[in-house]
Parts: sequence; C-alpha cells; structure tokens
Amino acid sequence: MKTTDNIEKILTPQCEFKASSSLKDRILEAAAQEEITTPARPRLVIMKYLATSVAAAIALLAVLFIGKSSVQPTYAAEKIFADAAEILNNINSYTAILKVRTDPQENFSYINPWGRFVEHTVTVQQSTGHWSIDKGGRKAVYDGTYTWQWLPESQFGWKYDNENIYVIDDFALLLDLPSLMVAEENIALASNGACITKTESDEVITLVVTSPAQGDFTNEYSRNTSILESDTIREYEFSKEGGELLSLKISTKILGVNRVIVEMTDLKYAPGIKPSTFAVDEDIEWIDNTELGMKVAYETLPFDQFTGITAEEAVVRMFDATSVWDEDFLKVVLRNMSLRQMEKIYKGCRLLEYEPSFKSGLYNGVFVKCKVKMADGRTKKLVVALRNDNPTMTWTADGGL
Amino acid sequence: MIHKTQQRLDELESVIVREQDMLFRFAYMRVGSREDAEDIVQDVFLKLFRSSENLKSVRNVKHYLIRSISNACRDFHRRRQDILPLEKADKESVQDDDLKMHEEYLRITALARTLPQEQREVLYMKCIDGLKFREISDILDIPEATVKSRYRYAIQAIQKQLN
Repeated sequence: MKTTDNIEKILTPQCEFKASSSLKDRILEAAAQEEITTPARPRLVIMKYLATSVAAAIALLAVLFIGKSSVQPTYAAEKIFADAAEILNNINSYTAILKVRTDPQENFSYINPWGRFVEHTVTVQQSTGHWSIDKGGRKAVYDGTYTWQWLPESQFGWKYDNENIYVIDDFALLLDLPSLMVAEENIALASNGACITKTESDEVITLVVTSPAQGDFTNEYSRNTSILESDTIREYEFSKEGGELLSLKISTKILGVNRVIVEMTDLKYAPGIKPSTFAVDEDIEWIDNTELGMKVAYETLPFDQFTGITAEEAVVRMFDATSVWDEDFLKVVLRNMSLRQMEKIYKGCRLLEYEPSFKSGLYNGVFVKCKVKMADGRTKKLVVALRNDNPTMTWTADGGL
Repeated sequence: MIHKTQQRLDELESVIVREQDMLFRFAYMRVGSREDAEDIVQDVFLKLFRSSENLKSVRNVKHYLIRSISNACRDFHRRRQDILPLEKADKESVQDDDLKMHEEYLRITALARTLPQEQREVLYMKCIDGLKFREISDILDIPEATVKSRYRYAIQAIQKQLN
C-alpha cells in the first residue's frame, strides 16, 4: 500500500522547469509598450477610403483627424495653414529629412513608438509630380509612369501603374506637405476653433493639433502601429515673418508621456533635384503589379484557389503549399513577398492550428493567429495578415511571416 | 512620469525574476506546452502591471499571480474549444530540450486525469507547486478544511489507482 508520502513523491516533478531566458525581456518589452492611460473617448466611424492620389489620401487625413480633442481657441490657425500651403504649392520642389520611429525595412506606414529613429529622405518635384522616399532598407519612387517600391538588401520589389500611394499608405500624409497643410486648415475650419493651440515667439508661430487614434480597436492588435492608429499630437512651426512651414513633429501618448514618433528636421524649399533621385536600383526582382502584369498572372496561376474562401481556409491552403513548396500556389498567396526569401524560411513548414480571423485598427484585411511547425521541427506562432481587397478578391499574405 | 514608469518596470522585473520559473511550471503542468505556458505567464504579468499603479501595494503578489495563472489556465482550456485544430495536427511538437519536462507533465497528468477538477487543483498545488494548505486556502478562497478534505480524497483516489 502506497503511503501519502509516497504518493506525494510520485506526484512531484523529477526535473527542473525553466522558463525561456527571453521570457523576462519579452514581458518587460510588452509592459513598456502598454499604454497605462487609455482615456474613454468617442471614436469616429470611418469608411475605408479608396484614395487614388496623394491629394486624396490627404483628404482622408482631413476626415480622420477631425476628432474631439482638447478644447482651445485656434486664433485663426486656418489662415496660418492656408498661407503655408500656398507657399509650398508655389515652389517647384521640396526635400525633407524625416526621422521616424520604425524599422528600416518595414512598410512606410509602420511605426514603433519604442523603436529607434530611422531617417527618411523625402523628395518631391511638384512641377512633374515625381517623388521619392528612401529610408535605407526600403525605397519608393514615382517616376511619372510607374510607382516602384523595393527592398535594396533583398533585391526585391513591386511595380505599379501610375502613381500608387497604397505602397506608402499613410506615409503619403507626410509626403504631400501642401495637402497636409490644407487638411489641417480644413480641420481648423471644421472644428470651429476646438482642437488647435497656438503659441508665438519672436520669430516662430507654433500650432499644436491633437486627435485620437482612428480605427476599430475591439481587438487592440494594431494600436500604435501607424500614425493614424495612434493618439497623435502634431506640432507645426511656421516662420512668423514669411509664413512658411519650418518643421513638424508628431507625438503619440504612450505610458502617460508624449513620445515623438516623427520629426521633420530639414525642410528645403525649391532645391535643385537630380534626375537620378527618381531612378530605381538595378538587379531588383520585380513583382509586376501593373494591369498588364496582373493579367498575365491571372492567366497562368491558380488565383481561383484563393478566391471565394475564408481567410482561415486561405491560411490552411497557404501552409499546405509551403509544406510541399508548391510554387504555383505560393506565387498567388505570397505574391507580394520574395518567394526566394520565403523559401529559405518556410519550405517544409506545416500548419498545426489556427484561430478565427480578426480585424484591428484601420487595416483593410484580417489577421489570423496560427501555430506552425518549421522544417527543422521548431514550432512558431504567427499572426498572418491577409487581404483580399483586390479586383478578384484573391487572398494574399500581407505580413506576419 | 518617466521616472515613475521606470520604477514600475523595475518592480515588475524583480517580481518576474523571482517568480517566473515557478509560474511557468504551474502553467506548463496545466497546459502541457512551453509556448502556451509562457504566453499565459506573460499575460498574467502584464495584467498585474496594468492593474496596479504600485506593485508593492498588491497584497501577497505571489498568491495574486498564482490565482491569476490558475484562472488563465482554466480560460485556456475553455478557449481551446474555439481553436480550430487541423485533422493532421502534429502532436509531437516538443523541443528536445523540453522532452524530460514534457514526460513529467504526461506522467503526472496520466495519474491525475480521472480526479475531479477541484481535487486535482488542490493536489497539484500541494505536490507540484509546493504550497501549504493555508496558502491554497487563500489562493482558492475556500476554507482550509475543504482544502484538506479535497486533498485527502485525491490522494485516496491515486492510491486506489496505483494499488
């Protein structure tokens, strides 16, 4: 007969249980990113705006930024914004250096309030409409015919017809400074002096605009991952004498303090611009997302396998394809990723389980949490971002891999 | 404000260093996977961080954490019904380094699987987590006498099984 002591001994684990060495850092990092103060506030119901130009995106900004904010008089702030817009509109070109807390290779819209500043060089030639953004790890150019975006290190990129601001998402807000000024002017007019503060020194006028995060945060996954999905405080400095915009700074409120996420350090009016500024790198593997390129892809690849199904089913089919590395399938669902890069990581990867998809923030697609087993036997948890907001409603993986 | 935040993070760090392995074992023995156990531990620490301006003001942090982990493990098993396992789900996804630990999980789970949940919880807290009856009573918010009787029934059931 086993005694109680014996039973207790049998039930005592015979080995040590050690948490991963990285667990502490993961928790502390997540804690640091927690926003302690989440003030109750009304949220705007927004409709995803299908902008077709930078100006249209700025119009979206105008709609989105009109939120309930701190109640302060504007002192004719709208005129200051309007004057600055006119000055910017009347020059052939401008350049700016923007420091953004982000990752050099991530999408232009991505921000990480706890990340380091990454320098972005912005060049806009208003006389031709050409523009370029370069943040080292990722570049985008509109050369008058196509919009190009590429990752120099991976030598991989995407090509689109005409001017396509989807590729830079809400970074478009920072690219088109005249329209940004117009948008803020509209906010000043619409809010009837309710959301802007103004201070003056001998040489500088400072306007501060505040607005809440935009989007549906029933699921908080996307909060603070882009400018629009953050509570923002936008600070503009203008020359008192000439009225021109001198600087801008965007902060977000995290952990009860204002954290600067974007800072414009060097705005140059009408500088000379070399044509090479709008040239794309050589030796890039381009995904052809032009109308012609898409037509060819539809005719040759099994797009039908990723249409008319749920996002979860698309994830299942995607990992079925990675497990045997079915390139035809993967050229559809991983269309916007470098297949060669993906092959190095995900060849042989199998899906173990997944959860129902969810939406968060302003993202036009959905997220699917899943657990996969890599070819080397390790398991990995992923949150795959997928979208099907394209003409054929085909699911494509958009991130999280 | 920044100073205060840093102070809270420092307090949190010292609690993590002190309790993480015990809490990880607690969760692992109930969910059987490193990733899920660590997710639960992380969520509970973050909940603690979120809910309290001053961690030192929490009465008996260790008991608070164990209670939260226990609840989170129960939620985990409830939530599992919402998760969509694939037919071909791989059951052998344990890393080599975790094999011994997982064997212990399987061995003890097999012994205790037929017990009613409330008896099993008391048994685990006493034998695996090394808690005293008084502590279990505080954590589960039940009389100490009830803890002892549940424990006694659990031991008798295991004895019967082994003999």
